[in-house]
Amino acid sequence: MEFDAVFETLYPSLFRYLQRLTGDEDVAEDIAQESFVRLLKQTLPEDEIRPWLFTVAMNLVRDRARKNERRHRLLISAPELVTRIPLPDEDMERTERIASVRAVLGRLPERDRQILLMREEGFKYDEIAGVIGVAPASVGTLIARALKKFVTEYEAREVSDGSRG
Amino acid sequence: MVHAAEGTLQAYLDGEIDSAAERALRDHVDACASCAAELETLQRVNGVVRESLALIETPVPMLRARAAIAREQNARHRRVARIGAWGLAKAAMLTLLLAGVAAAAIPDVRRALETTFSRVVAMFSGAQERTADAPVQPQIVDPGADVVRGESFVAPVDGRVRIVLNVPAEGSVEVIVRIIDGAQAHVETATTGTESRRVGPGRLELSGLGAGSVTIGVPRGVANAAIEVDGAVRVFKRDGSLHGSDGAARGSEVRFMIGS
Repeated sequence: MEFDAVFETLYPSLFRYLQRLTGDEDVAEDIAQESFVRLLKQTLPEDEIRPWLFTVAMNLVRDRARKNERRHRLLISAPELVTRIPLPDEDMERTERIASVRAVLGRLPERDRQILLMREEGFKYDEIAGVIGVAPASVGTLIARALKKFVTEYEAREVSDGSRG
Repeated sequence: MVHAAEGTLQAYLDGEIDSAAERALRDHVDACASCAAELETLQRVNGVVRESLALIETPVPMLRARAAIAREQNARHRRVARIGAWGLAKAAMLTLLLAGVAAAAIPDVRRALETTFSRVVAMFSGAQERTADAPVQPQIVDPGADVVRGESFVAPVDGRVRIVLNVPAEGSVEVIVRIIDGAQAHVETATTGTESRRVGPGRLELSGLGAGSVTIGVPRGVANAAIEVDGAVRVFKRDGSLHGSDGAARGSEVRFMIGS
């Protein structure tokens, strides 16, 4: 597959993954772009391109977090600030739900977040296993547990918000 | 009854188990209320997560990334083109080298290659920039029988040419150093008389020299040079070797007469 076709096919998926993972569109865009620039220097079999891209992107996310821990903390907490802006009811409800999703996602262990977001981007179990470094047979269990953690946290938050409102 | 593991149920929902295992699992879930409940739970949490993640999806900005990729691709093409040109140059040099090695079997070609090679080596070693310390090995000549007033001689001294002038008290001589293909010679004089110098392109003229000595350093990188005393070439350098003017040897000096 030509590089341009790979870019058009995989860039949206990588960007979405990174944007959900980091909660920051600018960071997601920068890292997705950098990952593709690095891909230019690689010669990989077609089926290895997507796992390679996501692995590199994840490493870049970690590097960035290490280099700028303070900024990373701000990214995680940023959605909380959005909820304090007065908005029409419908918009406010949607904004609050988005903030909740981001907050819950941000609190999940990194591996759980990665697994959920990769699955969402259509990764097969063996690809997920390759990227996060676990046995393919364990991926189903890890996904199920991550899903349950997410929903438990999310629903607890909804209940808490409801009781306050 | 052995219940289905939650990982297996999740793999079933994700289409990650083969058709035989899928049939077996479906049969089990139909017969097992506990596994059916677990499957229902998993279906629900899958739905919640999918819906939640859809909420935080934003439009994908492609333009900036496309531009950055295009810039990088162009830069890479330019680098590849430069490397290609250098590669061609290296290939050409290698071809010449191989041709040279092959041609070296022919004596005339070999000599030409040796000369060229020496010049290239000298050029890259900066040899032509240095002044001469080359061992001077002149062929010693007999100046002949036209001695009029005194005998002078040329001798190699510390890699330079020293001209010893036996000049009568009232007489003087002229020494001209011609550097044909290189930098200026270094000349030191210690003679009686009223010395004057004139410097021109490739030429140093010393006149009014009395008795004493003139020491001339011809730069090592100079292949061709000549030293004249009173209009007669006494020493010359050809192809890097120093020679006396008429080729006759005697001892380690070139002797000549100062005539009127």
